[in-house]
Amino acid sequence: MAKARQWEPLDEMSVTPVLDLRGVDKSFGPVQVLHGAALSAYAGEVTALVGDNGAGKSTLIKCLGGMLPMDGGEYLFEGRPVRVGSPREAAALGIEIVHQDLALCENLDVVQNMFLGRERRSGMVLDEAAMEEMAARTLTGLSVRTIKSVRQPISSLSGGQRQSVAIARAMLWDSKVVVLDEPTSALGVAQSRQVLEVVRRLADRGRAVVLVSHNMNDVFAVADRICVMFLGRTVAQVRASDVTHAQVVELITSGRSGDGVEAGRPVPVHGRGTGPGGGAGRG
Amino acid sequence: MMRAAPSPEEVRRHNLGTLLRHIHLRGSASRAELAEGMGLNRSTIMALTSELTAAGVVREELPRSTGRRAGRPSLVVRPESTRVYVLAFQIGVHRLVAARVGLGGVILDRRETTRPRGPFDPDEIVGVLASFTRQLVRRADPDAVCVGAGAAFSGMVRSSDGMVRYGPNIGAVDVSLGEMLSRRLGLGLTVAIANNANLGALAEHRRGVGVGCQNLLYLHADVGVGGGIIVGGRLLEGADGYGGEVGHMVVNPAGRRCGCGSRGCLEAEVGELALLAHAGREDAVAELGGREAVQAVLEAADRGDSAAREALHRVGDWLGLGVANLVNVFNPEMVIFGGTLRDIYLGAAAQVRSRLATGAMAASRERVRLRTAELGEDTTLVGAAELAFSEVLNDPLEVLARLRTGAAAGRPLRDRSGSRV
Amino acid sequence: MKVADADFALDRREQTVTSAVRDYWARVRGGELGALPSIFSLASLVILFTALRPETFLSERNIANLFVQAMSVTILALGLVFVLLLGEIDLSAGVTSGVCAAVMAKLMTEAGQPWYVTVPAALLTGLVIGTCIGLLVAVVRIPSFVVTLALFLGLQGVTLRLIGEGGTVPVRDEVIVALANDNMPIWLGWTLAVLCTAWFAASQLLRWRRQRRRGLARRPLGLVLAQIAVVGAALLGLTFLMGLDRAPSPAIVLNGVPWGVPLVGVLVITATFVLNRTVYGRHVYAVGGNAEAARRAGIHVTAIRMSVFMIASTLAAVAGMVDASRLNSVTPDAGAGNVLLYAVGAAVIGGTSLFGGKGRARDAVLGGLVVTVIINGLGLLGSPAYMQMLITGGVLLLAASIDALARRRQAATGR
Repeated sequence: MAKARQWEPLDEMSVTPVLDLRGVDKSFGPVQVLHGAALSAYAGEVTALVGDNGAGKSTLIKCLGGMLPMDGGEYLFEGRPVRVGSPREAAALGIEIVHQDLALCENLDVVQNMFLGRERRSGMVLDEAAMEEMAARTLTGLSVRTIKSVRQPISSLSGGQRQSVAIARAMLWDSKVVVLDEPTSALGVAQSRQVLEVVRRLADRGRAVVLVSHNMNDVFAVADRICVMFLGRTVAQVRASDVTHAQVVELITSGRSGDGVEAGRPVPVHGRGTGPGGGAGRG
Repeated sequence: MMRAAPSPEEVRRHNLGTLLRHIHLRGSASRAELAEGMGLNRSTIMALTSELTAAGVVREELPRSTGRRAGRPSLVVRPESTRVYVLAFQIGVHRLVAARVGLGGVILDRRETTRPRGPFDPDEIVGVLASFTRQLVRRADPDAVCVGAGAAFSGMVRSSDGMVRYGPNIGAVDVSLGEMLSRRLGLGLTVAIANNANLGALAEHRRGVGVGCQNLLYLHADVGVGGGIIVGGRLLEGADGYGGEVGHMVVNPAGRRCGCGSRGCLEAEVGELALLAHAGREDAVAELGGREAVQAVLEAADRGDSAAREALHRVGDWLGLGVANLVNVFNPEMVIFGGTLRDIYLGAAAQVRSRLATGAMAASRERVRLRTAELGEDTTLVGAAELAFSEVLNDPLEVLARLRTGAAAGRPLRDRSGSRV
Repeated sequence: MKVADADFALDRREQTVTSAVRDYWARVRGGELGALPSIFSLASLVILFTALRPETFLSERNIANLFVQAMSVTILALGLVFVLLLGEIDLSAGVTSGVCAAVMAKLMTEAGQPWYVTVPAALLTGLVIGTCIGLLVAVVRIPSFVVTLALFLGLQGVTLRLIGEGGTVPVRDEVIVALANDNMPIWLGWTLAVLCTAWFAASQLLRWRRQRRRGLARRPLGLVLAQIAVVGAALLGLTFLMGLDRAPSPAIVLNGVPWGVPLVGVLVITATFVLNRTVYGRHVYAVGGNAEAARRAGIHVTAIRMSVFMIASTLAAVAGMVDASRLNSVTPDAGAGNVLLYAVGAAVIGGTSLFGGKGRARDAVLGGLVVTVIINGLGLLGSPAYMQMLITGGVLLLAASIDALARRRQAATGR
């Protein structure tokens, strides 16, 4: 297997984000949940979406995945404005959302789940051999090592292994953007670690990964960028290597970072029209 | 340096070595890909592959149908992994591993044992590895040939003669472990030996997360903390092979005592003993063994045990500081955490990266990627195999000769070893 | 790239028969019982009845009789397997078979239509009923239990209306009657048995070889061979038994495999193929396992849900015709009473779960045989009707309990 990989420069000026949401507004009746929220995801990078409960993370993800219509704002995919009106349209663009509840069929095996809904056929018969080979190759490519057999039913796998299978499915289907909603929240230490490594590899294999997480440590372990939301606004989109734990926590809790501007050097949010996005904006 | 034009023999040796290395590192490739990758014309490639095929080092076959592509498919050259193999050893403080690794880096078979922390007894170690080797060789295919052997040792090793100079739990010693092992195996092979973290760096650079990355740091911990540094695609060895001992970089002059006699070495501040001491679990090593003890601290921290969490954060802070220093010095593209540091990094990434953000120059750190070892537990073992293969690939003619005698005598190497040992 | 211990080790390493047996045993202990309960109960029932009625139960005549009796319940159960796979139920399958048989019989006697008109008409009737159930369950979203319970009553009325109170419609069409009453020539029986065995062996071996060549997960060769031997022995052994003369008097010769047996065989093989080898079958399992996951994967859940009721009712029509053939007539209570209970019992005893997502076509055959052996054996013992009802009901409850307990066990052991 040829393993030539390219390490492209992480230069936001020259690289177009695969996914770029700008100035997203969303209201539920009289309650406005998103006020010009923004999120950019780049190929080969993990972008962590963090924020307190009620900051608007899941609403933003639902808009991203076409499960909720946006009231206003721009949705750019690979630089082009698109309309995503349904999950099907999001999937057609190559956006895959791995939900917390995973949506795997426990009675089917690993291969069957990975190809669910997109089975390979030769003639009218399922092409089991091809599917098994591709599934095994994908799992090996992500170094998912702990699964004994790709013909094991999902019900016999641990939580971490299931999460890995769900992530590998996104990899198999050649998605360009993979959104992972709290992938480690229900897992123990060893399994979380496994999943974090798979998440990292998914990005290293060229996918744009959006990681929604509460766990700061997980975020720092794998993220290249951190997008912080506070009360429906995106208050910072920063490079993970430029900030400290304390600064991010401060952004999450107060929407601003007192000492963060210098060391943190938050990258301005794309699209200047998005209001309080730039760096230590107001909360 | 002026040199005469290389002789045809040298050219052939060089080409064979390059082709084999290509197959070994990249796996199977079509002749067309090989020709392109090596910059040779197809007839030369054909001559080389047919020589290697005849010797049984590679085989050529039709690619499996992967899709409906038009045209006649080009033959694919694959390594004969089960036929050409090396022996790889991992000599850790707690763990001894021996493995049969085929051309192409496939671990074909392995034996391992854990051992209690105790006095360093080279004879015992060599004995265990020799008996593992006998089992491994016996299980090999009848026509398989062992072409080399390499060992990863957790300690300092002199590159010129494989003399072991220092180990984290054994202190300063002078034992020619490589030579002892070569003699006991009785395979007619020299066992190359090197520092485990250096070999880990090599393995991750060639087969792991660091493929395609020319400048990387590999940090490895089991009992001690070691490092391997790849600069410009080459392993930094230093004058005698002791390069990359980052574990004994002093980060905290007023810190904990280190086994080397100094104070506040990175090893003393982030090694498993430091973690366990901070967590108040010094006894755990004896009960659980190193790795499990570290694991127990991580799990306790996850459950919310404040002492464990505090210990993890402290260790993470020191690790981040050490990495920040190294990043300033080497400006690597990637820092890889292996061994128990893999767990510690994933458990204390917030601390490590915060320290890095504040401690390293922005220009040096902006392109640094922090990663965990992709080869997992086997990083150093794979590195030992790579060490063994390096020697082989430098002189492929020697391998061909070995294969030929093995085949001509109708008597594979294992018989020879069987009668001697 | 490398073979570490967990790295799909099972897929790469040649499994031995011992390790496969050990794995199987571990699965059984984990609550994945498979065909074990049905085979076990079949064997013990056969031993029990042979001991109680040594001279009649295992006679050639009774064995042939048993197979003929088992046909309709097996076909009905086969249709129910599809419905049960989705975790749904079709309580009207029995009476659907009655309606379809009545339609067929009426068309023959009153309109004088030949079998090639009446059989499609009966099948179409089944399909229409199935479509109605499917629409009500999948589109209107009424629980299948309620829909089919309502139809259970309603369709009995339809049969009654068609045939008339106390009436009986005779079935005289030769082709239909032959289904359960005539036998294949001996040579044809043997040819079919040998061909089936050879085909089964070839397909299993070829698949094994392909899996090995491509380095895929596979069962050990020993196990594959053993399975071929068992299937071959069963097929050829039964053909031999059926070839023996079983006429009640020495004056005539009565031997050969009943024509209905290959019909059941074709249906079961087709169902197996559809469930295991086609995209449709895979989607049936997926919807039964986790409908939400299936929906998110882009599977048309409503269509799948409708289709299983259509399949079940159409197969019920076939079962109704087979029964009409066996009894040479259709009565107003055809398919009512305990017919459905037997069929559900057969599917569940065979190993199909009432909770959905688990089951195979062969379950219908194994379960159908168990149920028939009970009915047949109790008949030979001369037990009163209430005993038969009690025992059959008890067996169904037992099978359902095993299913529920196995499921709990699976949840507990994480299988």
